[in-house]
Amino acid sequence: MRELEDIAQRLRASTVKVQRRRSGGGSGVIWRSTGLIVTNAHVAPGPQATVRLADGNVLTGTVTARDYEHDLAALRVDAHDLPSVTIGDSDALLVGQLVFAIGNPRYIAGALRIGIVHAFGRATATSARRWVEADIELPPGYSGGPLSDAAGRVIGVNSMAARDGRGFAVPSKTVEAFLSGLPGQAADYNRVPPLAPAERHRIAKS
Amino acid sequence: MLAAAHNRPSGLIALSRELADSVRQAGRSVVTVRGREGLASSGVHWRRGVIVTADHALDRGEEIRVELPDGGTVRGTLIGRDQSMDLALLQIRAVGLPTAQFGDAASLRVGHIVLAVGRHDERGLSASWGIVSAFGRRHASAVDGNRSIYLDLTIYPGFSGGPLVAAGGRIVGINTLGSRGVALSIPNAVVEDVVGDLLHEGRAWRD
Repeated sequence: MRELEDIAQRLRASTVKVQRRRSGGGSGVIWRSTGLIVTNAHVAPGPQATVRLADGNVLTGTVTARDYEHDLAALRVDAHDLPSVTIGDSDALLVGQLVFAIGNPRYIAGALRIGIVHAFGRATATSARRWVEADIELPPGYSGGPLSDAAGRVIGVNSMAARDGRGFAVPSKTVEAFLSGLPGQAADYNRVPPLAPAERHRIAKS
Repeated sequence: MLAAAHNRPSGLIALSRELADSVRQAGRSVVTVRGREGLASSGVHWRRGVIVTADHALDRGEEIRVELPDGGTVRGTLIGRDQSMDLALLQIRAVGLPTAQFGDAASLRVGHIVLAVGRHDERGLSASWGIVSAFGRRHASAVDGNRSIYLDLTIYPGFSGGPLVAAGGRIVGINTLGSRGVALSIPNAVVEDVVGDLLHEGRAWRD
């Protein structure tokens, strides 16, 4: 379907590969064209990470903020006019809607996956939803990458996958709150993770 | 984009909307059934005051509570069970709860996109999607639409007893897990047979 290809192309252009010093890493989302990349805290645990753009350019990303509770990290790269994503409203999502994920699994750049919204986690102080849960298979490499709706608007940043076939994304509302908030605001966030450690696996490559 | 250039609405957006609408529409008659320790199951308001759910969701002697979409909880009284079909019937006082809107299971074809809808915890409605994979054994009846529906979708824990939903939010079957964990759905006509038997006799006659 031509439309699927269009969505994949647009999302791929705004998805980066984020690599740690050794092997491993995951994906990231170009959130602002002025050089702001969003990824997972567990994908970029150090002060810097290598950011590989879809066009092949490689940049150094400096971590400027990190929130382990919500599994988010903000990276700054020295570039302007990057192809940033269109950001959607995660609070407006409905169960059943189509969602798309782009990731960087082993040896493949910008691979597309499709699913639907499965459910939502509990509400928090800053978002009507704690997680966007999707009925979508997310193998290693999708961590930190975008989850978009059928119009190509990014409504989440993929964080982890459950063994039963659900993918968990940080809602775009939470990402916006993280980017605009001060470090102290993390205390307001819901502290209970949706899955016990034994039930989940990180979808960053290790 | 090509669609925009021709002023046609995006096919993907239309499909996305239809899927979400179908979940919401079918979900109006989906309840939560708590009839055992631990995991609750889903159920469907099949006829007024009658809930169809999964037989394996009920324990003997356990008080059955049915949680409604509007948040209320009512007591469920066991009418009958059909273990071979994994179906059970409950009676409830159903003020204001819509009954299921049925579709024609006989018109389903391999490859049709379908949804499994569940309501089994505090997150409310949940859903998975996939396609009709194959048709299975014919249940005793000369009527069309009486074959088990095999599905390429995930039946999540708590989804058993919930509806299989086709286009327009129409309910076409009740979902369960077959042997070796295969996802399958009992089509409407067969569920109707079981409902009729259980209401009449309190048990089902199966050959």
